[in-house]
Amino acid sequence: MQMKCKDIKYRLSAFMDGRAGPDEAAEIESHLRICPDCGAVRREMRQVTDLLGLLPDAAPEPFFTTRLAARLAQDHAADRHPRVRRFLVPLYMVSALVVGFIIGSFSGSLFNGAQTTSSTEDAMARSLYLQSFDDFPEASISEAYFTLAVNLTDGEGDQP
Amino acid sequence: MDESRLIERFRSGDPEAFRQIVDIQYPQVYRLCFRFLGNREDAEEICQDVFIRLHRTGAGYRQEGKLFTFLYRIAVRLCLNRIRDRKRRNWTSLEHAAPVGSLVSDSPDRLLEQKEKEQAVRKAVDELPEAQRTALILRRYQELSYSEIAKVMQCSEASVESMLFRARQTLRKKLKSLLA
Repeated sequence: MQMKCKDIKYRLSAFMDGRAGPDEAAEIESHLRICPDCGAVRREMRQVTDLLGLLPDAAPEPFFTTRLAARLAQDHAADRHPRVRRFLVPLYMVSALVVGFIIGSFSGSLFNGAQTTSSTEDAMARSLYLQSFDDFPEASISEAYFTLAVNLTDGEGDQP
Repeated sequence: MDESRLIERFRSGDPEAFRQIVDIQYPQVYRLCFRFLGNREDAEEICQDVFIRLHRTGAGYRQEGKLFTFLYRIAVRLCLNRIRDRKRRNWTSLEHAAPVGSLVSDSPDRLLEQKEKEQAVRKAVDELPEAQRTALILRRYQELSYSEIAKVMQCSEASVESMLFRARQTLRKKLKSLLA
C-alpha cells in the first residue's frame, strides 16, 4: 500500500535520522521526488536542524574534579553528625516551649492572685465611676447602701 | 579501561575509580546541562549535584546499561527542576545576551541578525513541552541514538520517535519566518 502525504510527513523526522528500513526509505525517497509539498517540508526540517546549530555550545570548565572534591568534603563535614543534629533540634524546640509555658503559667497565677482580694469592691466602684469606696463620706446613707450591697453579693457567692 | 570494571571498583569504594568516572563523564554531562540551562554557573552546579548523587549511591549503584544513561537521567531531572524554579521566580539568563565568540569579527548588522535568530531559536526550544525538548536536546546536541534516548527518558523508542516528530513540527511552525 502506498504511503499518503500525511504518513510521509509523520515519518520524515525518523527518516532523516536514518530510522526507516530500506523499503520504507525507498518509498519515502520516491514520494519526495514527485510531491512538492512533502519536499518542502523536508527542506524546512533540514533548515530547522541547521538553525538549532546556532545555539552556542559551552566548553567544560577546567579543574572540575577539584571543585567537586571540595564540595564533597563540605557536604561530608555538614553530614558528620546528622543523627545527633536530627535529635537535638526538636529537643531544643520542645524545651523552649515547656520553659515558656511554665514561666507564663507562673506569672499569670501571680497576677491573678493579686487581683482577687479586692475584685468585687473594685467592680462596684467602677460601675459608679468612683476610684474606690473611700470616696463616699463616712456614715452617709450611700456608704450604708453599698456596704449592704457588698455583703449581699458576697453572701450570694457563698450559697451552695 | 572497561566501564564495568571501573564501576566495580567505584562500587567497592575506590576513590580513584570515582575520579576517573568524573573525568570521563563530566564534559558530556556539562554540555547537556548547558544545553538545557544556557548558563555556565547553573550547568556547573547541576553537574556537581549529578556526581554527588552518583557518589552517594556508591555500592548501591546497579549497572543497567551504560553509566551515562544513569547520569543523563539525573541531569535531565535536575535541569528541568531548575527551569521550573526559574519560571516560578521569573528568572532570565543574561548569558544568552552575551556575544558569541565566533561572531565577534562580523559586522554589527550581521551580529545583530544572528543574535536575533539565536534568541528566536532559544525561545522556540525553551517553549517546547519538557519531554519533546529533552528528546530533541539528547538527539540534536548529545547525538544519542533513539534507543539511548529511550533509556535515558525511560520510555519506548516509538515514543521517542513521536516526541522528536512533534518537536520538529512545532519548531518548523514557530521558526517559519526564519526559514528560506
